Amino acid sequence: MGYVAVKGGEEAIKNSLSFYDEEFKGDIKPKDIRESLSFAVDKIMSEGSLYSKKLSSVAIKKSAGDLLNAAFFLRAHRSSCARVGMAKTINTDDMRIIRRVSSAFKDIQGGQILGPSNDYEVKLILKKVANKTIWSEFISDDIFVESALKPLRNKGLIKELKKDREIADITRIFPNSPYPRSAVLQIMSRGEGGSMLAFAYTTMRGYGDVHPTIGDLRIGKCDVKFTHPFTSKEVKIAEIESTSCEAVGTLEKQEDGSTKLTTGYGFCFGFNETKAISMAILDISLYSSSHSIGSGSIASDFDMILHHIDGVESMGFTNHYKLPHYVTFQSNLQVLMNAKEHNGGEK
Amino acid sequence: MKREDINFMLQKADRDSLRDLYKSIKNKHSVEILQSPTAQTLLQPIKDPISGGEFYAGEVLVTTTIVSVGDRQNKGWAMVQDDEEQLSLYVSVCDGAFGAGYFVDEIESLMKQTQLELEKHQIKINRKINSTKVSFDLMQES
Repeated sequence: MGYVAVKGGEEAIKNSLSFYDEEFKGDIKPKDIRESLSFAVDKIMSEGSLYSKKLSSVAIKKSAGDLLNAAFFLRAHRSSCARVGMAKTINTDDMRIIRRVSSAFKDIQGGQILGPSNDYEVKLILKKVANKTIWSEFISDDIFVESALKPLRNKGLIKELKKDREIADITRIFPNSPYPRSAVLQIMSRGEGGSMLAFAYTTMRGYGDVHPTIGDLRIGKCDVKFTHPFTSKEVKIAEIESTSCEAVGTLEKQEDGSTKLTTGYGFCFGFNETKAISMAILDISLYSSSHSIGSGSIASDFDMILHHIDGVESMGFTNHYKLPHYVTFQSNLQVLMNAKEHNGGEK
Repeated sequence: MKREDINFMLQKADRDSLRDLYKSIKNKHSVEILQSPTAQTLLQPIKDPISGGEFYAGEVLVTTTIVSVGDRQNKGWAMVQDDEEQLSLYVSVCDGAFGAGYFVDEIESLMKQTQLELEKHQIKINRKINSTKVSFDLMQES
């Protein structure tokens, strides 16, 4: 039974929109959202798959803080803009570091840098006493450091995966299984943080066997570069805030008989570390065979992960059920009534 | 200062000074808009450290403008971050003027001033970042 469309209701819909606009107007300006709700803005950029702090904050305002809806606004806007080209590839080893931690190594080149974080805050809603740090007492050096896992990678201790010949772009063609790795990473990079966290969590709680160690988690700024059309030279366009995570899984026997460490990679726009960690864990789970549970765990199933983590899609599909389904439901009801009648008026 | 530095540096310049510079250039030389400021996207590839390949993390919103300054051959271009039409227009005019050799000193001066401000700001941020360096002590079993 297909969906039967409905028509009419324009007046009520118009009034409902006006009511929504008046009810959820508020006085907050997108600029205030951008400056004070940074993590929400970054989440929307990441899931909307469009780096624009300005429009992300407008989307949050338009959706009155419904973040799934806000990502929908931003994703829809993205599809209305022409794509001018491709920027130069970002290597997160070149990131200007703001925060960088490794739970694998105590002493790493560049050091452990907590950055602006409330990880170690007691999570109680209490008034804080301002800590008057004298910033001028600290050094002002820039921090650019390569991944803490680079030395292990250089020694050949880390499992490598096959590189795609061409980079897949899921916004043009959504691939079928077996999925190219570049498509898998693109899907996860714009996936919904909560869904990814839930799937990643299954791997730690008995439905998988990933107990990751965070090899290198970093947030910072990366340069976006493009070619000047009249000088043909490289030009810096922007600095984007981003998060990347390399998580280490476990030991795995390779086809050549060697044993290597498995790793997973996560990258997303904005300061978004729970999502980047979740992505890295899912990456390990998808590409590294399990030892205790076997390969049948939820988060090692490519179809399961790739078709269920997109917030815009899953929200859209879920919410479509509230649209009029009168004919569909009446048809089901009629089948039930007919069956009862056929059974001699079963009550 | 090179022409290639204009695009980013002037995005960060004091907006009033940039607008004044744009107006000065426009008052002295004809400016023709060949492509009005247009919001577009740039696909952003990221290096995957595990395969050595790349993947697209998403798109970056940019606003692009093309102008000619003085002679029609002297084209200026700007691609600025986010949805910023005025800014893109100002930067493209400065780019075209610089390429044509007009207002070079003024443009360079604004860029140098901006660079100094950016460096000052970065030093402040770096001090805060460096203040959070940590080396946790391992607890000994007693």
